[in-house]
Amino acid sequence: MPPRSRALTLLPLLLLAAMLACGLVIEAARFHTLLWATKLPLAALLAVAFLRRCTSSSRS
Amino acid sequence: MHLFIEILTLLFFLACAAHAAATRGRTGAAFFAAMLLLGFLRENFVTVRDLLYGFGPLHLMFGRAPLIAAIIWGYSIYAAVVWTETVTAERLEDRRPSLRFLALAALFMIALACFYEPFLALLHMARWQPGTRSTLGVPWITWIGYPTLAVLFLLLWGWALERRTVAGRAAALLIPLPLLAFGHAWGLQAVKTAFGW
Repeated sequence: MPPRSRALTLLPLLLLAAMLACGLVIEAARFHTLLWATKLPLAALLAVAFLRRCTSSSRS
Repeated sequence: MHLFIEILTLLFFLACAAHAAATRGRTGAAFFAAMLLLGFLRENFVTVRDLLYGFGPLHLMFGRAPLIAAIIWGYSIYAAVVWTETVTAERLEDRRPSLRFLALAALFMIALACFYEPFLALLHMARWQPGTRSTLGVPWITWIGYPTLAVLFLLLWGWALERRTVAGRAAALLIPLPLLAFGHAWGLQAVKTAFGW
């Protein structure tokens, strides 16, 4: 699968990662706090998906 | 700040709907339409009946409920489906998903609850009923609410798509969908009250 198609497949997860980053920026800039512990589960699951996609594409 | 987050979420929702239509065709578009209807019915029921939680001052409305509350379900369930497909290589087809698929989608929804709830509370975009029990700002009831809505919807979707005709699929989906929306909100409130959560 070409890189562009791989990125398209993962678009919803990339958007979610962007939303997670937005949340961190808003918390830090506006509230001077970071609710990092509650973001860890989602960050970890997203990382698993991206790693899985990387390893499966490198094998093919 | 609220308007920025509402518009951002709407744009992401539309991007995901376009993604579903592009990668799954008409089935993907119908999947999103069904989730939008589910979110609209559920959140309006929550608002009108004053169940579970209320909302802060938000700008974009969809009926009596904030638009962001109605669309976030579709966005989240679709993200859970894409994540599960990526890690299992099992695709959501025209049948009921496997138990493993449902369990992993449920796990992803719990992770989403952990992200959304403390953030929404910090911004005063959502407020749970007084006395709601939570850990790290995540209400306990959401650990049941998020995954069960996703799992029940995916089961209903798969069951409806097992019908052979378009009319049969539409009827199998659209008749139980309001029951799922209302029943889920009402059921969660009942569980929350019964356990004192």
